[in-house]
Amino acid sequence: MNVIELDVSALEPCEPLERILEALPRLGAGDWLRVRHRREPRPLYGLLAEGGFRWWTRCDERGCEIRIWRDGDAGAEQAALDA
Amino acid sequence: MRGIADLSLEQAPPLWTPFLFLFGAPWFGVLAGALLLKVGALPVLDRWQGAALALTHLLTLGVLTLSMCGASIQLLPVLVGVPVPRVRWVAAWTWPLLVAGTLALAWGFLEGGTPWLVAGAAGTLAGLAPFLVAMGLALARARVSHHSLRAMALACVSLAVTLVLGALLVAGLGGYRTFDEIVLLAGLHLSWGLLGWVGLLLAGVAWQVVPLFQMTPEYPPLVRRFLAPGLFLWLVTTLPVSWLWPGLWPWILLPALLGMAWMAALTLQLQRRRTRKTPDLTLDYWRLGMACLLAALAVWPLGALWGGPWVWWLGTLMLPGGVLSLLNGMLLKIVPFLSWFHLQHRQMAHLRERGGLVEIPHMHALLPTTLGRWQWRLHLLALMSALATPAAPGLLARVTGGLLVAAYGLLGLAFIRVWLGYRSAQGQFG
Repeated sequence: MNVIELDVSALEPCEPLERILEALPRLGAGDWLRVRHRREPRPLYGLLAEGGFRWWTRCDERGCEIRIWRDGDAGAEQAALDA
Repeated sequence: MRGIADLSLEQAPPLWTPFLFLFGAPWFGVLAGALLLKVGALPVLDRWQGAALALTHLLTLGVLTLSMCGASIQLLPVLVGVPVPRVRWVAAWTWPLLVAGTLALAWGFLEGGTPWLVAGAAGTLAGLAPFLVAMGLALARARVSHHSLRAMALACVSLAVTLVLGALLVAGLGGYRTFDEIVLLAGLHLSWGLLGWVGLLLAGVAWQVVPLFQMTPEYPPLVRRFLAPGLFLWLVTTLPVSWLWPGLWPWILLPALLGMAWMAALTLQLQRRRTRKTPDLTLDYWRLGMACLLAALAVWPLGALWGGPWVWWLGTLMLPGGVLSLLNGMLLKIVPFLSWFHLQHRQMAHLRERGGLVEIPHMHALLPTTLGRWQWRLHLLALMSALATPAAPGLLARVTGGLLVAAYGLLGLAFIRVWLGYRSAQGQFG
């Protein structure tokens, strides 16, 4: 059970989206992805739903943190939400 | 904190609906260039020449409004979380009527006369009316409220006013009005079109696009809040005031023009403070566009006082230099991005169903940077040639025409290349 860290906050659009999508297939059972982004990546959400992923987002004035895991992976969901 | 609920991009329209508009736009630029090649110096010498009016409408309705319709259909659901209602029907209705209406208007100005002008105005009105109603419904149902949204709504109202003023002008050209009234109506039509429809839409888009894509600080809240409504209210006051006191025309436009100049100067200042300094074609186009808008403001009083070449310079700086530069920059970003983004949706579905990824092209592979750079060079050359045209109108008007054909032809071909790349990549999904 691993957390994969990805900081895309200094990248120009659409590189953050590309990096996040490239990282998704690496998520194994129990794994989740933590992304740091300078904005809320709204276009990402539709893609995540399409690919069978779930997510949790928190934004403040410093940027956004997005946690992503595979839909149905209860262990990863628990770990992501508890982190 | 946010979970599964926010899926506004799921509301995005089918890809063909914005592409129908965006792919058609460059070919009107080619037509405008071909017209200049044919007629030479005529539009430069007199803005009331039929050729000048045909040229202006090929650019404003053909290139600009067609692109703005496509971009609005795509952008609105993302910005406000509500799709444009019956978007397939609206696109299938608006596009052919707008295209045919623009062509008929241009032909009417050139040789066809009043029947073609009436047909063109009727086609354009009939085509854009359902589009405006659909946009209005989507804006009224919006789940969020922000400054960009308000600017877009005011831009739609301005387009409606522009169309009505245009229809009155066509009626006037049939002999129902005096020449002075026609001159005033033409000024109002132009002002509502360029400052209202185009200016307000650009402002609404800029509040979102410049900080996001060019990595600049945000526009100041006061500017976002008051600039678009202020500009719109001032335009509203020009209608009765200029009618009651025609002597105030065109000086009454000055505050609205200063508002646009303020936005242009502010955008240039924000772009200097961008956090990443890598070269970016869209940024170059936006810098050129904003600089040309500022220069247009400087030239505007001279055009109003002396006419002649100053009017040509004003029009060139405002339209191909300012507005069309901004548009080209956005189109070169939007078209490959939308294709790439729709491929990513297929990719995600493939990942869910089969567990693996298919290799799909990056945005820069769909529209290579070198192609975009050549388009930029041709656009820049066309602009410089247009600005130099009053020095040797007979020769340089045709050179400008040739360069416009090349610049917009390349843009149109680049979009076809993007489409072919998209279709080829889509084939991998079976």
